[in-house]
Amino acid sequence: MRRALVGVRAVLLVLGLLGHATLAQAIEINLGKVFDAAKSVAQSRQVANLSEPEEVTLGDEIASRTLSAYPLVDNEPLQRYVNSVGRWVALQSERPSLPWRFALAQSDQMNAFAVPGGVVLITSAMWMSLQNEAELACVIGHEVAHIVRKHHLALLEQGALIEAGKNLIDAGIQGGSGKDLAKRMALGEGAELFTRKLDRGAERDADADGVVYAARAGYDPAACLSFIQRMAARKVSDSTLGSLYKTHPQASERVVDVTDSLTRLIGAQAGSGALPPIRP
Amino acid sequence: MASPQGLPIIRALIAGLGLLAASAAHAQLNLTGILRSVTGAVAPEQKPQVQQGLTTTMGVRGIDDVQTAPVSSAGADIKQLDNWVATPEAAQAFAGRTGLLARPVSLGAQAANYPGAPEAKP
Repeated sequence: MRRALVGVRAVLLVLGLLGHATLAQAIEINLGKVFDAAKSVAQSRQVANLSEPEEVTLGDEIASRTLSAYPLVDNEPLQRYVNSVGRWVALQSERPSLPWRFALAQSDQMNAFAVPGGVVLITSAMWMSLQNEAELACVIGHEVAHIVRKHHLALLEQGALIEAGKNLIDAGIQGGSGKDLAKRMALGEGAELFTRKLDRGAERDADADGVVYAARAGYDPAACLSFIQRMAARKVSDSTLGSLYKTHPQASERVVDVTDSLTRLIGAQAGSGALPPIRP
Repeated sequence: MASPQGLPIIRALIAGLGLLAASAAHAQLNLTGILRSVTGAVAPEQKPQVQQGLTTTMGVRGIDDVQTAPVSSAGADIKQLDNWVATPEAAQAFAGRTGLLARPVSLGAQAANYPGAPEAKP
């Protein structure tokens, strides 16, 4: 009953959007598309409840698309090294048995991405900014936390709802094809959705978890702070940070969060643990 | 394997959202300049080289090309990721070789007056 109510509310939400559009102009409604959109709303409610294999399948597709724009760095020893560190950190998380895969991807933008299902991508520019293995563990820990907490699945769920609303409006206003819709999404609307920041709370949680995972893995958690402090010292206008600040809060804000996390650690403290050099 | 109920959801998401990753990347690339080449943008001194003489031009494809990116190459990337995977046993061996010791660590309660705490509302 409760689930049905949620579904009804969701459909009402998008129908409300349709109604808004109706006021703007006379609409010729394509009922088939309206029903399809309503169905997708109902389905979107289940996104966050995907089974683990379903999450991995979805993540692989998203990772494939991402890697078509960010090619993998062609250095097998390096990639294996990043996987060793990454898996060791992920083993300290609450989802150690996911099929974790880590990779360096070519880009002069400093950033790292978490893909549902256990794929973490780190750009080559981000890699070059790391001063030791503990900092790598911190970056990986932050992204692992997003996956463990399913932050992006929640975002996708919101996106699916928004898209269903757009579908309804499009059905009435333009009768646009799915291809047209996909093109518009790709040209801006969808990209904006995908690249927008997660909410502040999600980023704060990921920063805190990243500190914990790095410390559990035996690294000095203070490395998380030194890394983010270096980011904060760079000019916001630094062109290599454009991508990072599209998807993450300002580094100055994260310095506050990471500092707070360090003070709350139980079982480790800043200055304890290893600070090994990068060593593929 | 994905459950029968879940497959339609996955397919819908893949169709609608999967391509967003690539388009997002393009959006970002466009911000910093189309026709950018990513050759040796990084010049490692002490770290291993991440790329050698490889030039990849990005951002020149039309958006339709992105949507219809060859599945074979995308699939190849995923296979490559699979090839580099570290098993839990391998990761533990790596940590053992390098002297990393796992330890029980958790996060205590947040102090009410920590610097980032939101201001109390009246």
